[in-house]
Amino acid sequence: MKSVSSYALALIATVALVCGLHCRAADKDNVHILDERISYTVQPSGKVKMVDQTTYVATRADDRLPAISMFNEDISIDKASAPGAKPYYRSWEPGDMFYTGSRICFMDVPLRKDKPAKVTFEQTYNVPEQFCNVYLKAPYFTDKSLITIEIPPVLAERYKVTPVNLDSCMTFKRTVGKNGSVVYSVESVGREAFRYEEDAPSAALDAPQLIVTGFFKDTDELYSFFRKYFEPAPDSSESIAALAADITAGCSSDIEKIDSIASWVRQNIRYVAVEHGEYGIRPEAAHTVLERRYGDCKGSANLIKALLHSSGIDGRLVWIGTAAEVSTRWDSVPSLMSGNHQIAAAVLPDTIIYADGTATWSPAGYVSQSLRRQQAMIEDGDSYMLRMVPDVGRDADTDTLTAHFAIDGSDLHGSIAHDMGGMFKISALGSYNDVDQSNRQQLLRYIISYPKKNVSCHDVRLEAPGPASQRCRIISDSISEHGAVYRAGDKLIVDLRPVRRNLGLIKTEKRKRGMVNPFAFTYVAHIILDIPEGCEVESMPADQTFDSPWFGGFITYRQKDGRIECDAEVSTRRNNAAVSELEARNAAIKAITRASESKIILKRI
Amino acid sequence: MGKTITHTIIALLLAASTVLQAEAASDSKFFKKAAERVWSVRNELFDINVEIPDSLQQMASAIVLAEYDFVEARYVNNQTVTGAETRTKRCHWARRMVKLLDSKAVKDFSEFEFGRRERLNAEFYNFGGSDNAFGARIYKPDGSVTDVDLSQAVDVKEGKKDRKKDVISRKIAIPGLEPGDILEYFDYTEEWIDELDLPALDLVPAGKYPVIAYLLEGEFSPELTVEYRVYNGMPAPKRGSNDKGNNGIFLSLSYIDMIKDRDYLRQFRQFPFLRLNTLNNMSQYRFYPQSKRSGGLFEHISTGSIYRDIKFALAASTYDLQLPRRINGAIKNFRKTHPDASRRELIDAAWLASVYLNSIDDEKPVSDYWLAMIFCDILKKQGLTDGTDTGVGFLNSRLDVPTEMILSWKQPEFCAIVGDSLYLPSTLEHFLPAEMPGEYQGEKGGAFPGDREKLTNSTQPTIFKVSTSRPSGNKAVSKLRVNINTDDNTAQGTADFTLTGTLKEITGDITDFNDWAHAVEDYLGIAEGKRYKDKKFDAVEREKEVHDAALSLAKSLLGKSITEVDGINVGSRGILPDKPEVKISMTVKAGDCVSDAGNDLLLHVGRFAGNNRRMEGDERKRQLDAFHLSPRQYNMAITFAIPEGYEVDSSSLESLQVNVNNRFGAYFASAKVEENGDLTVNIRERYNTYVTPADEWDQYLEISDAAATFNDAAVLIKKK
Repeated sequence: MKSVSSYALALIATVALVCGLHCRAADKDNVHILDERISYTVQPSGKVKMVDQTTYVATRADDRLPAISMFNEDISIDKASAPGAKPYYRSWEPGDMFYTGSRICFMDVPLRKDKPAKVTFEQTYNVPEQFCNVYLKAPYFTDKSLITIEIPPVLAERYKVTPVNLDSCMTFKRTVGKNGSVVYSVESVGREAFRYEEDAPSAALDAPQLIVTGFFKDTDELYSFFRKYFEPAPDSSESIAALAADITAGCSSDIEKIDSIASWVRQNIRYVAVEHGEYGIRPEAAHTVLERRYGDCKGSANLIKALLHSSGIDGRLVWIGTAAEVSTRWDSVPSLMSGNHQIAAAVLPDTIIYADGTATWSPAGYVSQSLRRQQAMIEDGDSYMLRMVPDVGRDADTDTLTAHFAIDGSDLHGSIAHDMGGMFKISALGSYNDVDQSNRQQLLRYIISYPKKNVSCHDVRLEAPGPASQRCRIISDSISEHGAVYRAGDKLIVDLRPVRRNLGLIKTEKRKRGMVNPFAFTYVAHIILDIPEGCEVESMPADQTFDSPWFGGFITYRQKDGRIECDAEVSTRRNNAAVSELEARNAAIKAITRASESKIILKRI
Repeated sequence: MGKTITHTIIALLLAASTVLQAEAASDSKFFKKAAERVWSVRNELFDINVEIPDSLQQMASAIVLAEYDFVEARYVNNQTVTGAETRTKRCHWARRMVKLLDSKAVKDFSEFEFGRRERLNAEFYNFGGSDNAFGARIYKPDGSVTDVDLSQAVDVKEGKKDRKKDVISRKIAIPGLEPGDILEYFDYTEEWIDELDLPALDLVPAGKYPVIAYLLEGEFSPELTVEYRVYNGMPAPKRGSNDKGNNGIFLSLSYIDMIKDRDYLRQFRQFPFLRLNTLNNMSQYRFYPQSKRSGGLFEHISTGSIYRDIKFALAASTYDLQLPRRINGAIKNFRKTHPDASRRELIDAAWLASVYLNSIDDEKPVSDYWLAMIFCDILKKQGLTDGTDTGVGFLNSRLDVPTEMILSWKQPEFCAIVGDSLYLPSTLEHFLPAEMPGEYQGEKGGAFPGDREKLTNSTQPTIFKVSTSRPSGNKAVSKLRVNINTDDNTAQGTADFTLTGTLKEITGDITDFNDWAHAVEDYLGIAEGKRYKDKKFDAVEREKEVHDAALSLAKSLLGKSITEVDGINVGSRGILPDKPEVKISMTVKAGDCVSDAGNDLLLHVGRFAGNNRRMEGDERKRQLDAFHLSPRQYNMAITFAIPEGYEVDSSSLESLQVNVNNRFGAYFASAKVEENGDLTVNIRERYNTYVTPADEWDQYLEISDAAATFNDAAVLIKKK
């Protein structure tokens, strides 16, 4: 499902990427925006005219400015001009989309040192519902900016413009013109550049923006809009009915049927997003998706709905926003920007089961973290229901490491297994099946060796009872961690390394934005080390507990029956950190790492 | 042959070829025609019931049951009032039948872009173009067969408006595809060009999937000069002619193994393939070497024939450019300011002047062919050579086929030969004049010393072999001194790097074109007012680039524990004859240096000794020889200032004593505690060859394993 925000985000990402190549020193850019003037004028018809006149200057040396604007069959480019540059119009498909019809208008603008150059783009939003929000950011430092949205008198009561995440340099105003039109404006002075940074939240969540509502009066009207694009009566064609019967044969409960249907769709319908024009909103017919064996999120959801219906279960379509990209709710912001995804739901007498057709290796009944606590709009005949997706499944997102080692010269030799649930399982099976058969052993070796680099392992295997199983295991019965045992006189110093997960240190130098880790998880380790004959324990690392806003957990060591047992656990707590908190978060990670690297010392008797 | 090859003509053709334009996609008639052609021939090859050995089923996600490459080239001659206009039309298609064994294979073979249409224009003259088509069908395990409906494809548009004519290609997601299916598809291209030649075709049957049956067929007009060659064990096709008088080739292969190795490969030296040129040697409007072959089919053109083409091209080449005058001026000036310069110094200076002035030329810089020629002419004019040991040379690096196996006179890189020295234009930002990058070392090449005008039928090229430097000639010497801070587990200190030979390339962006140009200007004594000025030069941005390159170099040579560098000083760039080495110093910061070991600490010495990962699994056995940059050596001298209150437990030094040595290389490490308590560690990692034969890979692993093991080396530092 797409909204205009997806295009705008794509544009920002593109500009940031391209500019990133030119101006990597974020705080010392050669190119500045001297003056940015962007006006959006809503027509009485709802169409929107945009005029962007931005003046750039190169302050230290001649440069080239990649001026880019996105357009498609709904948003036209009416004018593009800049001194010394010619516009090029090219196809540009964002991310993993197969086809959205997106194009870019690109101008390679020569900038002479200290000579301002004005770049003009004029566009028309021909499909009014796509005009949902306006970002107030550019990938360059901006001396001054004025961004306005003018609402004509006839729509002035209906349309509302709400500022979100405004920086201290920004002033928001609402003024009423003589003719009754309302102008919302944001004036900025000395606005910082806004760039892509690794692990930073999506711009949709933390960029300053103006949210435009009013095209849909309320959620009812928004739903009526969606309602035009799908058939509420489920597809009950023969092929669907036959398939549903086949998939659910042997299922003894509705839950089993739902899980079987969801799993079948995830395994057999490959994700191919064709989202140009109204295909961004209209789900493909279920029988077409089945026939093609591919579809986007809407198509997969529609097929699940139809299969559920054929199995006697009340299947529905669900419009939803994923947590990493959408911060608004349908009821508070009735706009296309409140959703970017479609799933299905089985409405049972006592509960609602959500099923995402694109979550290929999802365990049965598992709801991904990106959907939990998000507001779902569920079709309900001619009406709809709004429900919050329950925050369940947190315990499933666990990676449990068990290992048993003996000392062999300077190596630790033994067996090791990762038992993975929830998103760990999805990720492991996803990665495994995304590489060619000839590379899969290598991938498993990498996973099971991490974070050590000097490791040999044999017969690494992946065990998963089925694609919808709750967990998977990666196992090696014969692993040698070379150089993990150091010798000093009669001492053996052992590097057991119980915390074997990347906790995500963030580079803080010149960082402008905070971070977000989209996945919360728990990591558990139980490692046994046999104490060799003729040795005794001189010292074990002291037990440690971790208690920071971001991570909790412990590491303990116990000596028992000729072996040392090490138990560790690390759970994520807060999944985000402001830029001012990054050093503290890094320090928390380093403390865990240092504790994990603390050595056991054995002594020859 | 009345024509000469002039720089002006070449430049025009180059300019023309840059206006390659994408236009509206071909229409469905063209797709239909292509499908009718492809699906109607050689159907016996495409057997869905072909037996697949179990060993193949477990090897890859897909198996190519059959693959058919077909090439057809026609010569067209139109008589006009201005003479004969000639055109080459070539049609090539690849038809493949692939068994999809799992979802990865379905993903790999499910999306295609096709239908691109391109035209070559020079002003208003349309002199070349190509049209592409695609078709596919699916065989289900139940025996049903479905032709993929191309009307389900979406249009890819490039243009401001939403017009049909802005469609430049089409994209299709193959519907109904599942693991277990067999997909058969073709990629069909018709291309044509007037008077000139179409690019060579490389036909490569082996790839990431095994192939059970492969067939290559070609049919060519007798007027066309079709020259081909097979490489790296590819069998030669059979030759013949049909009843229409057309020439043909035919090659049938079975059970072609997939390429399993992923690293250390040189495609053109290792993958079997056939390279095919379809040459129009009948045009009245272009240059040919007088030794060109007339129409016909030529397999494995002798090396001598191609070298003869090069010779006659050189003999016929003339130029009328400002560049030589400028170069001569620069050399005269250098001679004035360096009256005692040796001949070698003057030649090197002439080379620097030639490359420098060509690079900053307001006109489009000339290619390596012309620059080598101009340089040789200038040396003669300057009296720096009598001409007998100087001439234009040609060679390939290991990134292409060996020079003695080239298929066209335009294929190799051109250089200048002066005595035993070889001057290659592409080496400027990292190497001295006449210093050769690793990929050229050990390669054979040829040269035609002496006057170009005097090259005759009987003149033979001088064959040379680029000398291979010893590991000690390609050295990275790192000297690091660090202080450990036990509180925050960091280290800081100074690092000095000296790089020689081929390893200078790893300095990356440390030297950019501006740096190189300014160094050359200083060396040649170019007057201030005549120096190159880059209006886009941004000192702040450049400082950032140098910082990033220095951090990357430090991480590469010392390890990923290095987190920050500062105070970067580039003492020498290794590009000028009087400063042959790269010398860089900087301050460094590192993290994760120590870990707790009871009341003591373990100092992770190995984390400062580069990045060496133990190769595992399939990486430990090789199907093909392993190619490396060059023989090379890494020396490291690291001094750790032991923190106050601690001392090295000398009984833990054992893991720092390493001595692994075989004929492919060596890894030596030693450590000692100095009188002041500092720990010094010396490491020497050496690789003797640029290629390791597959069957001796275990010996290379012996060295790389030792290096990987040393990355985990540590010593105990005890509390006093």
